[in-house]
Amino acid sequence: MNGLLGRLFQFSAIYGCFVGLLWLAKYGMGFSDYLIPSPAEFLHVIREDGPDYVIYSLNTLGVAVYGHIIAILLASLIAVIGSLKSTMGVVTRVAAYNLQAYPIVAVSPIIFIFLGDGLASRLLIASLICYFPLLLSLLGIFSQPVEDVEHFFVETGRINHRLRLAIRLFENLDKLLTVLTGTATLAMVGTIVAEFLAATAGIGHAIKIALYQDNLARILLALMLIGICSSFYLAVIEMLGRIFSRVLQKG
Amino acid sequence: MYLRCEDLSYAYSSDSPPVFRGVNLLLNGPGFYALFGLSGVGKSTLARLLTNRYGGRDAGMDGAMSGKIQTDLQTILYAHDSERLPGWVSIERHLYGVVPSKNHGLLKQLIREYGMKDVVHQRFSSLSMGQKNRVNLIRYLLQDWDMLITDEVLANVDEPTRYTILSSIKTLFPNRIVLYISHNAIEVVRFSKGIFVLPQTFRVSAGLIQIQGLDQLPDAIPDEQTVQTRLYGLLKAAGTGAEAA
Repeated sequence: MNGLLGRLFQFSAIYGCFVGLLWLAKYGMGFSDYLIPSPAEFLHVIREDGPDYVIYSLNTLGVAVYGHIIAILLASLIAVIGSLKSTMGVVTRVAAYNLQAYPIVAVSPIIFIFLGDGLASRLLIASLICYFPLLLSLLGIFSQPVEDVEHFFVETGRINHRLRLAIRLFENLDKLLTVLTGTATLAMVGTIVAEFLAATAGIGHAIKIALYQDNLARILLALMLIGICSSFYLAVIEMLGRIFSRVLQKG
Repeated sequence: MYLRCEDLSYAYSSDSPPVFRGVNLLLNGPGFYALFGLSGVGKSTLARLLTNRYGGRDAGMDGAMSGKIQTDLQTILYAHDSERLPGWVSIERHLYGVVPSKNHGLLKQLIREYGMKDVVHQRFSSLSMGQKNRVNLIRYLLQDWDMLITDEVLANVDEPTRYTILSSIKTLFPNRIVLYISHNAIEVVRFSKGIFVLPQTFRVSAGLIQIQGLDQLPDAIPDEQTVQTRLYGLLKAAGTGAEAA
């Protein structure tokens, strides 16, 4: 709970500073309400469009969470294969390191052409955007020996691939949690980018419409809700990570 | 039961100076032997080299080695003081999982004798450094081995407990070879049957110096004068490479 409140406070502080600076510029330099909405207009938009935008944001958050989960499962599977010493493992590692260099957003038009502008495209783009950082981190964790722990099992001939992965995963739990949190943000980014590009739902889609209408108040509202949703999701991941870590440490 | 090294040299890479050279060593028959030397002379490297030739196990030994290692021993294990147990299980669960069931009675005895009874339910991370080393040693002692190389495995253990442990190793495993690596010169002199000293000569060790140890047993404790004389010889050999020891 403290983590969630902390994250919400941090976001509120940054968001407050950002909006404050906008209004400072507006009144300091005499910009019109058309360019930068007044506080009263912003409050009006919150009252009018708030409920719909909350639903759009939750929709985006849901897609991001599913996309993130798919990416975690896929990256874990590929990383396990990539950690093998066989040819298959080597080929997987090389492919992973080379493919990750390509910007996934650039591929998204192809995804929309083949899958249309529905849920599948949003999910796939969200997954792909956070998949490669996850894969590289997991490959790094799985291929980095923890000599101090593994030595005994190697010496006594007990080491096997499963045990090796378990040791490396356990020893790198903190690193893994950081990667999961970081990629959660990427999943949100991926979903919003997908919605912004071609989807027909979600907060990214709402931002696109607000952009066409030159309605900065709606964009500001969307940014606020994205920040709140991201903070909530990151806090939940951190909390689950702490619980999982505590259970493993104490048994 | 023997292990012999002939003219063994090792360098971390082909263009770096050797860590040691011209090492000749013969461990003939069971007993408690020691490998002694100042820090950085290559004791651990030599120890890893002795185990690494078995089954191509990867112990990070990818440097340039020359010379011969011969043995009729089936299993040589190498334990060192930086090892850790997996953190997701209690020490007790881990020990009973990795120690062969035929040795579970002995495991119980060693847990008690080595003063680990009260902490065996805890996780490894919650132990003191000395306790960690004792737990690690117990799990190695109860494997099936012909030769066990122990590299500073009693670091941070208090002196009376160290003596108890060394005496028990000698009593419980009289038919196997233990190669004990330690910086504690007194216990090396007291407990070892034979001591192999890697001397520090111009930063590169040249060969090994062999010194007779006192092979102390619980019922045969040598007098202090003998210990002091042997200790002086050991330290002189380690520091200057003097054969006079």
